[in-house]
Amino acid sequence: MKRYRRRYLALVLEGAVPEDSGELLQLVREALVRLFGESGAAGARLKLIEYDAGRRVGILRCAHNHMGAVRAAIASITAGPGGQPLAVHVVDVSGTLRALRKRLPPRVSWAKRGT
Amino acid sequence: MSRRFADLRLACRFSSEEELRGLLERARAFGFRLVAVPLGSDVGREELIRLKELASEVGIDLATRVDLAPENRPQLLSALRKLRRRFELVGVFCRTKEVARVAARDRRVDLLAFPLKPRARFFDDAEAELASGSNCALEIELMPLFRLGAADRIDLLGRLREEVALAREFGVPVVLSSGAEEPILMRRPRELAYLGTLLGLSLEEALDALSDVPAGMVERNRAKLDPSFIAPGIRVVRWGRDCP
Repeated sequence: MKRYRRRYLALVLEGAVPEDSGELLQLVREALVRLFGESGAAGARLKLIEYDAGRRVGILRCAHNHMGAVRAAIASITAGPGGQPLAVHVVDVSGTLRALRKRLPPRVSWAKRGT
Repeated sequence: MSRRFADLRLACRFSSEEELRGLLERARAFGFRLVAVPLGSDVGREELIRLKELASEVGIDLATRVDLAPENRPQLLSALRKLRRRFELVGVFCRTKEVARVAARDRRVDLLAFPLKPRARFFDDAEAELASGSNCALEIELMPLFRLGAADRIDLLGRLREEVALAREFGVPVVLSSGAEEPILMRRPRELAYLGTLLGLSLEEALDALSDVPAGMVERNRAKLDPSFIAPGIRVVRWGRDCP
């Protein structure tokens, strides 16, 4: 079976951030289903590679041909699990995890400044 | 060349210059280079200049914008007469068909906005034809869409897709703006562009609707507001007796 091409998205969260990775993945999945249905969500092949609730950053993997849908779904998230305001920003995208990790620190610096 | 992203309707309220500075810094960090904040029609020229200076300190270009929500034709025309020369952008929120038609025909109007209820939106063939003749743009605010319930959002997205198709057919420019009423609803330009693809725009079209289209509109209006402007393509290059 041919391996599908992947995209890794670096996420920065603001507001009432989810406590664990399961909650965050669920939020993204729900947003995807809301906008594109279950078929669209299934094709996205979402996987949360890592999530640090303390630093409010995460890395999400998706299929490259569904990246647009995933980014639209992520941008549409306005509330967290408890209905509290939440924003999830995609600050970088890469085809490999290694390249993304290398580039990540300067990209998330604006979030640390508390903007 | 990198795009010069613009958000022509950053609708967050601010009560002090410090709050505005915070919003502008945030927009700058997100990658916007041009922002318009709707201002009250009673804001004086000195205050507009001060706000622009504040924005340039932050490193972002602030376009002055006023939003009109007239109930009928005379109210719209009167407001346009009073305010057109003071603001770089004039948006009209069309709550009635009468206002929508007059606004679409008037060259002094830059942006046409409509309520979020599909049945209260009057952007049809006739409106698109009028707007294409006067260079008005259709403005679509993205973030308020996600404050609606699922059923309302589905209806509205369907309606917006029809409007985008009409705008494309008649050559009416489409401007995407965030319409963010709170800082947490602000999104990066590319995220807004991906949301724009939900309306039937290609990613390139959505990026243009967030950069080239709004930036071009502001540039054109600034040229028109310049004292040397006479008519499109004609401007005074030198005053005085020694002109040949």
